[in-house]
Amino acid sequence: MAPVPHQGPERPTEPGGPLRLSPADAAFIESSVSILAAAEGAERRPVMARAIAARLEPDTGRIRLCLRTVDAAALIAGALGHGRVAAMFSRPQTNETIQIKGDEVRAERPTAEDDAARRRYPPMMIAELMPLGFTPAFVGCVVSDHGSSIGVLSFMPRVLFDQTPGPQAGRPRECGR
Amino acid sequence: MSAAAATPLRLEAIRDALEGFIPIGIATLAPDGTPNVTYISQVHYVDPDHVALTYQFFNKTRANLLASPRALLQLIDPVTAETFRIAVTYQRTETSGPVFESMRAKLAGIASHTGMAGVFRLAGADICRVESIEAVPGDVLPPRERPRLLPVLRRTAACLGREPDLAAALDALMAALDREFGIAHAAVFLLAADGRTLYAVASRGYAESGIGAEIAVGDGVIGMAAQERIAVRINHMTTDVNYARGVGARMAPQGLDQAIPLPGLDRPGSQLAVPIEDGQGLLGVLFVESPEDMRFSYDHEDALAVLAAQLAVTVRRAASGPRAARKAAPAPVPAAPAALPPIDLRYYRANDSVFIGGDYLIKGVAGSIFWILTGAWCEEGRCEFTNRELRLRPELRLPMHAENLEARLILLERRLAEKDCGIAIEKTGRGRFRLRVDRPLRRHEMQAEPAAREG
Repeated sequence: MAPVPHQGPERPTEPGGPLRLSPADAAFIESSVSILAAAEGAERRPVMARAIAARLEPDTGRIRLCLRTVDAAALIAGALGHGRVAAMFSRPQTNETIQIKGDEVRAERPTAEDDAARRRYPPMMIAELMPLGFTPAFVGCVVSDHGSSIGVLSFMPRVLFDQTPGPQAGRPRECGR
Repeated sequence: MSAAAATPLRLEAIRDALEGFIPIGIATLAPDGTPNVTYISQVHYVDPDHVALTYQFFNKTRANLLASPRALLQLIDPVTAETFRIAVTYQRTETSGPVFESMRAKLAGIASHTGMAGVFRLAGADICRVESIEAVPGDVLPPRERPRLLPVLRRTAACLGREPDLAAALDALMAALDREFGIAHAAVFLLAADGRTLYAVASRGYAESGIGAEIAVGDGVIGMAAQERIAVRINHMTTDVNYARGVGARMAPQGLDQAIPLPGLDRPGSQLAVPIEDGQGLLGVLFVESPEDMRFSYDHEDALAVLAAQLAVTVRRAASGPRAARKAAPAPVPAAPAALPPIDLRYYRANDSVFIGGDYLIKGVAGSIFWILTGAWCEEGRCEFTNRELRLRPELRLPMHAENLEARLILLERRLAEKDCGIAIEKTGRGRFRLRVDRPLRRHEMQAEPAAREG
């Protein structure tokens, strides 16, 4: 299957500056995509957790990941401690995948907009995954909050990689920085 | 709850979660600590302390693993939806051998299933030591309802153990797989003396038995299980030409290159091939399949490996011949009714192929045996034979202990029964059998190849 091309992000105004996500990328990370986030943990080991919604903060360009605190304590601690985070967004039906790496990490309380994104997320993922043979109950187990408290990890994106499976996977987006 | 409070688990307890086609997340670190997260297609269970990861492309994950070997995997059980995280340390990459080939076959199935057949190609198997496993807290679905395989295995092994000879053992195994395991489609292939081909000697659940069909060692799921002497299990149908069975065998045969189509489902969802071997070497392959995806688990693989080991004892015993086959007592040859039209037999020495009327019967050692038996029947009026006397016939050119005469006789007996041509082999005792001929025979030894496909 041919990788699905994205519209590229806008060029940053300064080298090494923040990455402004294109409207297409912003829409993609807020759509029915699986989200995994990783950071450096203790003893130079990676840590990882699933996010159960993501959102672009339009004013600041920061990305906000909603995480179940019961699951993501090590990720949050690692990301805060080392100041960097990587997040992968992948659409199950097409395998279209991007990874965004960033810094200026903050742990925050969820806003009303975060809560709204988190409520939209499970039905969106059920609709995405049912055609692939997954039941709503199965998807619910994977993407629901299970009553856990929710924390938000926000970060400033710096670089975006095309990660749709194939030999090009892992390359920075050409029209990006 | 912190990650440290999560329950430690053993790899064997979660190996079913390694199945399926839900992509597995992998997090790695660059030497400067920059995290990287992506998907990999497969995590393969190697042993209780090791997994192997698919290496398909040289990418950031690969570069990170080589420079900074600690990685974290996150995977989802395809039945319970439970999430597990496995901390691993990369050790080495294998680009050939059993683990690599097993993963390559499995990847072909996953690739076909996910529409990635042209993209997924295994470059290596990255062997990693498992450091720790945690279950991520959260809601889960009830565990799979699966039969307890140990009692099933015990009953099947008991059936197999009761059968003294190979033919009966093969039939008992096929029947027990169906009855006890619910595996309706199965076949046993044995290794020919040349060590390069396998031939089907028993099957169950197919419209055409495929008895006598051949497959090259190294070809498809069955051939790969033989070549690498490892279980090969595909849980999703593959369209990969390397694993699609019967591609060669189903092409229209020409002249002497007659071929019996391999027994097989047109659209298998799951396949499992287990080598039949003992300390002296490979003897064959036990093969099962199902139209359902995800039909066979690691536990099935274990159970069939045990049965294959038990079958190996019977196959080896058959290969070395009966211990004390007495000379067959002469018996009167029942005369074939002369009123019936004769059966024309044609034999091509080039590859020992035999045609009955216009129909291809068999070739190779089994064809040669058939020609000896019908010759003795026509010229000496004999119908009773022993395996031992056949083994000593120079025209069979049997290498000592290498060729499994009994298996070839089973093959011939079953091909004749399928053809229902008025010639049959009937077992009369341990290492003894009778040729039954219902019509007069006319034997023709041919020099040239047949002009076209006739069978």
